[in-house]
Order: sequence, then structure tokens, then C-alpha cells
Amino acid sequence: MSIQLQAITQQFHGQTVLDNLNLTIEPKKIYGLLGRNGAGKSTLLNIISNRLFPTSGTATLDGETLHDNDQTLGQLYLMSEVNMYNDHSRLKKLIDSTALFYGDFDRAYATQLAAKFGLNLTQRFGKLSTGYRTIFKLIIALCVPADYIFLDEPVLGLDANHRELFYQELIDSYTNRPRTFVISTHLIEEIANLIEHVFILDQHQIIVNGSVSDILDRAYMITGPDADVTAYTSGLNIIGQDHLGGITANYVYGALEDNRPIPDTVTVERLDLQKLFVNLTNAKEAAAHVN
Amino acid sequence: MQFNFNSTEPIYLQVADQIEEAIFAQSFAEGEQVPSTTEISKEFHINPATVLKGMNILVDAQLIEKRRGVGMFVVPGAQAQIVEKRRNQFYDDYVKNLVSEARKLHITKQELAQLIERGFTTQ
Amino acid sequence: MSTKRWAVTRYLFMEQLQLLWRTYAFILVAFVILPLLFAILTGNLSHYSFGSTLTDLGIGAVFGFFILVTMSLTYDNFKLFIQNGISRKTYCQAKVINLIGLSFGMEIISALYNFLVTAPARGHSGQAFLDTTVYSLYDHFLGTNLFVNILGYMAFNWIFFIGLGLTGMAIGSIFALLTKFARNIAIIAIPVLGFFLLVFLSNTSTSPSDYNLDGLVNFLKFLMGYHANAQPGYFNPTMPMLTMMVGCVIMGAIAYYFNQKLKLKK
Repeated sequence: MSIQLQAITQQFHGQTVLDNLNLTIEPKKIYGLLGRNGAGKSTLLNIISNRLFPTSGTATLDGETLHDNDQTLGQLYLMSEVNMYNDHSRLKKLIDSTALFYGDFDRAYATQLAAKFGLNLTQRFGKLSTGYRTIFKLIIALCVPADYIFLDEPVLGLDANHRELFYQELIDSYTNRPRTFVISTHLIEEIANLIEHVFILDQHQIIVNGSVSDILDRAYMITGPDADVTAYTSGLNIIGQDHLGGITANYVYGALEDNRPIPDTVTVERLDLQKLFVNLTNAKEAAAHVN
Repeated sequence: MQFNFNSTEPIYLQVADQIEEAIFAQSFAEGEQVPSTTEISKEFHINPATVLKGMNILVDAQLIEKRRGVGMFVVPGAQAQIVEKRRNQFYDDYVKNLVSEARKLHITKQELAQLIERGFTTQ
Repeated sequence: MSTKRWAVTRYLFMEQLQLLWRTYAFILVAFVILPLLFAILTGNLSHYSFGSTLTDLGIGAVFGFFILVTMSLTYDNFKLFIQNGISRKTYCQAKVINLIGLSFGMEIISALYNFLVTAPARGHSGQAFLDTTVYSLYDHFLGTNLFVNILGYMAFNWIFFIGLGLTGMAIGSIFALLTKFARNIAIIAIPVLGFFLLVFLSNTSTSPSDYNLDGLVNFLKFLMGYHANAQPGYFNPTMPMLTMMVGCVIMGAIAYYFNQKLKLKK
């Protein structure tokens, strides 16, 4: 029971976007898919949902192919940044067709959500603002009877109140019917505690793949006078640095040296997910520039 | 209930700490129901599994108990248990630090005793 | 039939019905009502015959055009279906099922209209009406029973509509793969190339000594159902039907092949 990506490579006009990527997405978990702009998050999601064909590699659900297969494709739903709906269609009609194709659509909840977000379902899709397009697509995503829901930029154009409402409804809906959500967003702080597992996509690869608590258990910020911090962190996996006067903060990803005494002048703190992400993806970029 | 998730401690430990604090402050009285996993999860955008992990720490410590189909309740005597635990930790958590800081500031034992005396009379 | 295929077929059918009645409403307005208004405004009402205008409506011809165009519309529905977890295969199959069904229904309506409205209005017998159609090449082959000949005529048209629809699908799915730029180029280049081809062909026919086209002509005659000494009206209609069916299979295969390659555009 899972979605499996095996050796996925994607190239556009000779440029590599994804390079031999492997991934497992398990049932009933909330995932975060993080990556910088242009890292290939949307490409990856489009490959899973069979909207694009990878240059090589396979995507399966419970061992069955996701390529051109109604049975497997019907078990997932990708809410994408690209608008897949016709501008002239009325929202009601789009809900009708979604219900027709997926079956079992939760209409009562959709009506309830539309009221909560203040969305009038008699409008045409093309007439909606960016924020309300997002809201409409979110409503569909939460009411569709699929087991794997992929949300690409789910809060694009939403104000703080609507974002708050969305996160609450997401948890409510997840509690009532546990299923997998994969959330791809740049607002890392807002989902950091919400997600159970995180994928970080960088340099055409998944560079971090693990439970959020395990990963944050291995991410530290070590602050103090330059010399002391440098001495204490020597040989560790330093992913980034900040300087302020004579004070240095070294960001470390990986185990610390347990038998190395911590100097009084040095403090060891944990990193949050956003800070870890920024440092991991910055470091790679700097390295790439050096080469 | 007042939750404050600013520290970088793991979230499930923070959940446990915050509920314990609320029981200690009697915001959640003994025998009363504590907010459900979903309520806490929704309010603070925390994964339900994480909240549950935090709550289970308190269940293991026998501060709260699960009643099937109803929810989590504060165990009678939970507050006293927390007081007892905190008394045991008082020396390690506060006195050690107090004395070490006093030494750095050259405050003598008598001076410290006087300061403590003052603290008790003014507050 | 699987529930999904049925759902997609139903959806496409409802969508086409809507387009269809709008098309006919447009035709009615453009060719019946507007001329009437024009006649009233210019005071030429005496030259306008409401009856003959209405009875001359080429329902079948309009449908042929309609099915060619609507079957070529590909990308918008592809987006909707892939968003809803419907495979390309199911989309393609549902489209073909629809084409076959809708063409059948429309051919029956068109035949009823032709033989019950247009022919009597013109004072033609059924056979005389058949003689005015393309099928006049074949309308005596199956004997003198008018009903049998009409059935042959209907089958002939039905296959023709299916062929048109599949051709539309093939063109549409190829165009759906092109970028806007490439599509615009194709829209300009194809008529230009077609023009040069025509020029080339007309040149060859004026100087037959250069090319021997007898084989080709004979082959085309064979495909049309011509046989030794046959008079028009006595050609074998099964030949062009088979030819069209082969065309359908080829167009269907092209449509299916390119349909399988549909993907999200940037």
C-alpha cells in the first residue's frame, strides 16, 4: 500500500529537472514537499498524476502502474497551480463533473466549505480572483474521495484568515477520514508542525526524506565566539553560517560529537524546519556556484 | 488554556509540557475533560499524531486517562502528583542555578539567605 | 462498460448535444430568420419562401461539418479528464463511442427529414431524392426496393460521418501536442502546401505523357465501387464503404496514437 516512484528522470530540452529520483508515499500520512523555485516540485507532482511522462522511470500505486490507468489515477487527486478547469464553466457544474468522474463526492461538505470561505458556487471559474480559484480547488481537493491528495501551492493568494481556516479544515477532514496529503508550499513555518514527514527537493534529487521529528533531532544551531564555535563544530556537517560581530552561528545537520565537551561560552539550540531548509538549499547553491 | 509554541523543543514534548502546566495551574481541573487531540491539532496546526504522542506521555505518567469513546480526562490527584514531581526537581532546576549565579556575583551565603527572606516577605 | 468509461461517455454526449442544438439554432437564425428579416426590410417578401428555405436545410451536411470540428477539440477536455483521474485511453474510447452513437442518431434524424420533409416539399419521390445525392452512384445496385436503398444510403452516410469525426480527432490530437507557435505555423503552412500540391497535380494532368496515372485512376475507380461497364447508379456501394472503413481504421489509429501522447503544456 503506497505510491512508489522508481528511478524517475525528467529532462526538458536536454536540461535535467529530476535525476534518478526514488520516493515512497505511504497511506494516511501528511507530507510536506519542499523545494526552491524551479526545483521541480510541480514537475514531480505532474509525473505522479500522469500529466507528464518522465523521460525514464516508473510510478506505481500499490504495485499497479499510474500510467494511463483509471483505477489508480482515480485514487489520487492533484490540486495544481495550473488551472485545469475551463474558464467558462460554472463552479456548480465543475463539482458535478468531479462527482461524476470520481463518484462518492462529499457534496454536503463542499457546500459547507463554500459557505465558510464565502464562495458563491453559481459563478464561472474564469471570473474568480486568484485567491478564490485556490479556494475552489481546495474545496474540491478536500471533498474528493481519493486516498492520495496532492496540494501544489494550496494557499496561493489566500489571506491570513483563509489560510487559518484552510489548515483547520484540513486537520478536521484528515481526522474524519485519514488519507495522505502531500503539501508543496513555500510557507514552511505554517505547515512545519502539521506535516509528519518531509521531502526536500534540491539539485534534481530528494536530499531530505524523513519524519520531521527525526530530522529536527539532527539539526542544530551552535552559537558563541568565533573560535569556540569553530573548535566545537570542527569535523561536523556544517550546512550554513551566520556572523554578527565576533559571534558566529554554525548550522549543523547530523549528529554532534557526544564526547566533546560543550564550552560554557557556546549554546546549542535546535533548528526549526524553515531554518534547516534555507541552510540546506543555500549551501548546495553556493557549492554549485563554486564549481 | 494557554499554549505557547515558540521554543525549539520537539513539538510533542511541548504539547505534554503545556497540558501538564495547565493541570498544575488547575486550568484543567481533576476529573474534567482535557481538549481532544483534534481540537488541539486544529487550534495550533499540529499533526494529530504529534499531539497524540504528547498526550500519551501524560497518560503514561498517569496524569490523564483515556475513557473509551469520550476522550481524555484529568486523573484525580494529578495536580498533587505534579506538585510532588516539581518539588523533587526544585533543587536541580532552581537552587543549583541560583547558587552558581550567586557565586559568580560574589553574593555570600548570608546575603543570599537575606535576599530569599526579602523575597518571601515582599511577595 | 466500466463506470468511468460510461461516465465520460455521458459527459461528452451531453456536451455535444449542447453544442449541437446551438449549432442548429445558429444555422436556423443565419439561413432562415435573417434572410426573412432581410426580405421584410428590403420589401422583397414575395421572393422569400419560408417553406422552401426550411425544407432545404442540409441537416446532414451541417452535421458532417459539426462532427469534424467538435471531434477535433481535444486539449480542454483532456485537462478536465486528467484532473479527474481519467486516463487518455478512456477519454479516447468514450469519444469514439460518442461519435458512433451520435452519428447514428443524427443520420436517422437527417434521413427522416430528407425523406419526410425535403423530398415531399420538392415534389420528389424517395428514389428521385436519392438520385440527387452522392449515393446516386449506387442507388440501383441493391435492387428496386426503395427501403433497402435508403438503408444503404444511411449506412453509407453513417460510415462517412464516423470517418469525418475520426479525421477531426486525428487532426485535433496532433494539434493538441503542438505549441501555439507550431500550431500557427501549421495553420498557415498546410493550405500553402495544399495549394502547391494542387498546382503540381494540375500540371501533371495537362502533360499526361510525363506520368502514367492510369493505374491510380483505375485504383480510385475500384475503391469507388466501379466495375466493368457499370453505369452510375449501379456501382457497388460496399466498395466505398469498405474504403471508408479502412480510412476510419487509419484515422482512428492516428487519433489513438497521438491521444496517448497528450500531456500538460507549460
